[in-house]
Amino acid sequence: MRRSSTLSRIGLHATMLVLVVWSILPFIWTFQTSIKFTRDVAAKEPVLWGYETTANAYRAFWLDEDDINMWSVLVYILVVAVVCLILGQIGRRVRHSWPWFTAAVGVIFVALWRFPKVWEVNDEYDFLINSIVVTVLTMLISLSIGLLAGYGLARYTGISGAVILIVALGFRALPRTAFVLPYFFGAKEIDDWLNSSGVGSWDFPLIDFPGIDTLQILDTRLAIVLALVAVNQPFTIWMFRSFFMEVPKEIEEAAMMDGATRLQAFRRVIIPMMWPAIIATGLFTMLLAYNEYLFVRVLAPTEWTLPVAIVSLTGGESSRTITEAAAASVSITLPIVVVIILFQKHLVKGLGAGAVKG
Amino acid sequence: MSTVTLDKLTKVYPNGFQAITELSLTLEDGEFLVLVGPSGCGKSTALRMIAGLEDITSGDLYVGERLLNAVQPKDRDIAMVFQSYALYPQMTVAENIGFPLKLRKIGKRDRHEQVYQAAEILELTEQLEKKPAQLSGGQRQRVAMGRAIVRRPALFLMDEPLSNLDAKLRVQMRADIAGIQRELGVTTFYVTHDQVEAMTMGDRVAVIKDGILQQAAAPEALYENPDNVFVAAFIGSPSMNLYEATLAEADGDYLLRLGDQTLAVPDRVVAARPALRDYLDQPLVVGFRPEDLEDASVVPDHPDDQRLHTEIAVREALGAETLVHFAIAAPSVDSGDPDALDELGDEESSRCTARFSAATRVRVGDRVRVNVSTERLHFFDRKTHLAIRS
Amino acid sequence: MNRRTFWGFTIPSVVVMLALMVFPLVTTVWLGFQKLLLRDLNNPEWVGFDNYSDVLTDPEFWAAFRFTMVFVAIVVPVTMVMGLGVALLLDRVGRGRSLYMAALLLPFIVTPVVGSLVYKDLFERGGLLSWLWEVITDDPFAVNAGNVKWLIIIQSIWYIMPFAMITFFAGLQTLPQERVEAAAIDGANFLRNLWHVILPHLKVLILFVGLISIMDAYRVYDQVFVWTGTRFTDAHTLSVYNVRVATAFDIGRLGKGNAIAVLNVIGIFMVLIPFLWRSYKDQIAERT
Ligand SMILES: Nc1ncnc2c1ncn2[C@@H]1O[C@H](COP(=O)(O)OP(=O)(O)OP(=O)(O)O)[C@@H](O)[C@H]1O
Ligand SMILES: [Mg+2]
Repeated sequence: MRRSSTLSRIGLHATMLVLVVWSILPFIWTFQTSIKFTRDVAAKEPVLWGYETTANAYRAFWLDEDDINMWSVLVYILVVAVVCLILGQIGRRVRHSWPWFTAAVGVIFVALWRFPKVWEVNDEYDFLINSIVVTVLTMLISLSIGLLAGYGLARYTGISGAVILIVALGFRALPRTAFVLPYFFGAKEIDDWLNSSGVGSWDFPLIDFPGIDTLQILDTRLAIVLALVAVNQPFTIWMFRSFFMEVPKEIEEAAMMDGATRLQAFRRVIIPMMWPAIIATGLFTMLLAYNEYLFVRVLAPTEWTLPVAIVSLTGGESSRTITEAAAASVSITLPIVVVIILFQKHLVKGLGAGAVKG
Repeated sequence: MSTVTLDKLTKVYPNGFQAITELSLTLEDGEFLVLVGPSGCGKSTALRMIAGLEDITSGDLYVGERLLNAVQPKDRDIAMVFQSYALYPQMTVAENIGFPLKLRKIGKRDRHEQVYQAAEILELTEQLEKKPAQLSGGQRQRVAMGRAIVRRPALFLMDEPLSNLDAKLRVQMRADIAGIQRELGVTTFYVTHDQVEAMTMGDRVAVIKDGILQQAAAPEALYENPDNVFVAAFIGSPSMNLYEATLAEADGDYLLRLGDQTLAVPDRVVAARPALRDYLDQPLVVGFRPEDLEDASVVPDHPDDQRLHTEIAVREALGAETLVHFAIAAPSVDSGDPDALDELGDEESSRCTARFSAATRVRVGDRVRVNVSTERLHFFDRKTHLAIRS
Repeated sequence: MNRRTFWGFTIPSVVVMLALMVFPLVTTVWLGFQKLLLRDLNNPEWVGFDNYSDVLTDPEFWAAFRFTMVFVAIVVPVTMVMGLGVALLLDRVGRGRSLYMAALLLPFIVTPVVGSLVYKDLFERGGLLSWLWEVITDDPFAVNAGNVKWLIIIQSIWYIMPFAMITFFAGLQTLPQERVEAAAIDGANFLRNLWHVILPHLKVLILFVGLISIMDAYRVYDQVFVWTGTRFTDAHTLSVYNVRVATAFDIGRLGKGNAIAVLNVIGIFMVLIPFLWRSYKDQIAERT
């Protein structure tokens, strides 16, 4: 059992390799396409190796200038990535990690903010920013209210807890179409009212956001975030609940005896034990928000996120080329691949712990 | 002043289960009170009501003059040690012990000092920078203690704090905890299902069964004068032997009929318990402890009519003493202690356990005479199970 | 925890779910009874069950229904069996496991529309697989109404399988080693081991993955939309058909669309209610 023969080991790895090829072949192909010249892509026989590479497609997709050396862009991205990685690694090792993680987030923020000042960018850059904003906001809201609810549901033994959980499970099953149409309709109605009553164009003295002059729901990032938070709640509360169930309730009782309120016990004792759960649930939430297509398409006619941008690229109306579409696909995939590789262990553990119980 | 008063505390769980019924107790300042009872009798429930972790269904709880029923756990000035220790895994030992102080906003310097003092009492100074996962069971237990003692509360609550330790460590920690409590002089409410622990540690022991207090008294008093059959059987190891028997008077002498055997009961025994005369010729419950039986060949100087005649079924030599078991042809009595076992008994004969001195030479199968110290017999009502005394 | 604290903790989440799930559901049901056009949203007109009879007599609805059923019936079992198989293999790999895993997870984590796009590229003109097909069979290959359903199914298996795999793999990690060894000492061969040790251990997970996969397959949208667009409407699933009816440019019928949504909800709940009921019973049992 323990010691398998060399032959069966080779067989095992061979099978795994076949599976790996089946998994990533499309990505390899697309990546190749994205760095080829159009003439090689259009060739009758696919050019598999020995072709001349170029970053033209990436430049054409992201930037509004033709004569930029893409190496400088690559260096910019790599420097940011390396700095963040280093900060993150330090943060993992030291006792007080928050300053380091905050610094890493700050670096990313500054990099994203400075980028368009250095290079002229296309609309697609706005869609990238939309994607990031939507993803981060969805994660923040969804995880924070989900954590609270998951904790309550794990600790309360009344019947209403069971009802909430089961109803949430039911919601998890609903087709998106059952939400997106009424969202659209409801948002439209509210916007009409805001418009006709004049409330939408009120000048609020205190909340004066730059770039927002009228209040509306449809075609805003907020609408997308709210919709995503809602559809993600069932998953979040079930997942967190099963993690909280594994924390013995004596721990928070001990904290309360030590002089903490319920909320203090939750914040200072329970939450620090929950980081693996928060990361795992956060990863799934991130995937959901970053990958969403239908909600964005229906609720945001112009405030696209990247998936909608890419699909419309390949649609008939666009004059973009195959290589550009491929470059777009690679660009949208890379960040998520990096994140998942960094947190792969948490993902597996999270599924194991969460799913076994749930 | 931290006198603690429990006045008719009652707990009914949301599912309708009544776990505690009108529990009334008073703990004097600095007293070490042990609540003992079989598993599931409501000990933890009682403790958790005092802690504020469970609502009090009815009754009042006072510490000093202060009514605590509606006070949050954190404001009760009560510290608790849990059976599972409930240490905070992400904090070091020092942080664990210092957590109550931190919540009270005590400055860093003072905090370190107090944590160090607590650690010294508990011999944990070497461990202060470790995480709980790196500690042994006994050390974890000490950290849990440390978290309780560091803030000098009005009352300690301990819920079976030793039950996760191995036997040897348990004996040692037993002494340590009692010693620390005495040193600090903090009123302590200690819960256990182990009656040895209760007897050795408590200034006073309260026995509880099915949520109802049976008796609260000093260990010796509890042992000598159990109020009812349950307490009699529960306290002491091995348990008291309890049978149905009849007391008869013949020619001015009292005779106890125990199955097919008869024991003479001296007049003064009955005289000390006047109520016993009301039970003459009626079935009642008689009890005698294993240590009140002795091998007649070891102590030959004993009235012959105060002896049982029987055949040894099992013999356990423990070194300092020898336990023997034999059958007695009298119905045994169900004390209500779920842990009591009675595998030797059947319809008309019951097991009897005796503790002989090590000098005994009896072997399994021997017919022996057994001396009974009739002075030390216990009598109980057969219906109410209450002691017949006055 | 008492009731007040409980509601304190859960109220934000419950409010979000009430406002953004219960309320829209009620709106959906209401809209399903209205005649309401996308280009004229201000004049809903109560038409009773007209939308429903309209839907139920629409051959396209039944086509979508049939394909959705076929899709669920193929994709769910295949992904689960494959997922379990790959998880078992992965469990045996010693060195290089996390590398394999990262590669195998890729289709699952990538944006579904993008995953579909890159997969589709293999089969487009000039794509690697369509070229291979041509080399082998000497016929040119093109995505057409005939094969697009199969391509959607294959790509969906490619996309969904890693979810089953990673979940089962996580479950295998919690398999008590003694159980496996005991079975090995008993001389159990692989199949017996699988049947008597592994599958019972994974029972809850299998139910979990099955349930999630059914929900997700039933409402599949992204892949189908990318493969078919407006070209191969034959291969539309219920969700795609639904969105198409409701939001088609200029002729979108929101009322009818909502009627379809209601029918979809009823459809999935017919399957789910036994499971929900069982979970409810479990929950109640846990509480007493
Ligand atoms: N939350 C609850 N709801 C309903 N019944 C409960 C609850 N908690 C405990 N009980 C019941 O109350 C009784 C007393 O429980 P408790 O935990 O106080 O017993 P215990 O004496 O501490 O037992 P042990 O020695 O096993 O710790 C038990 O029968 C238990 O089943
Ligand atoms: Mg207990």
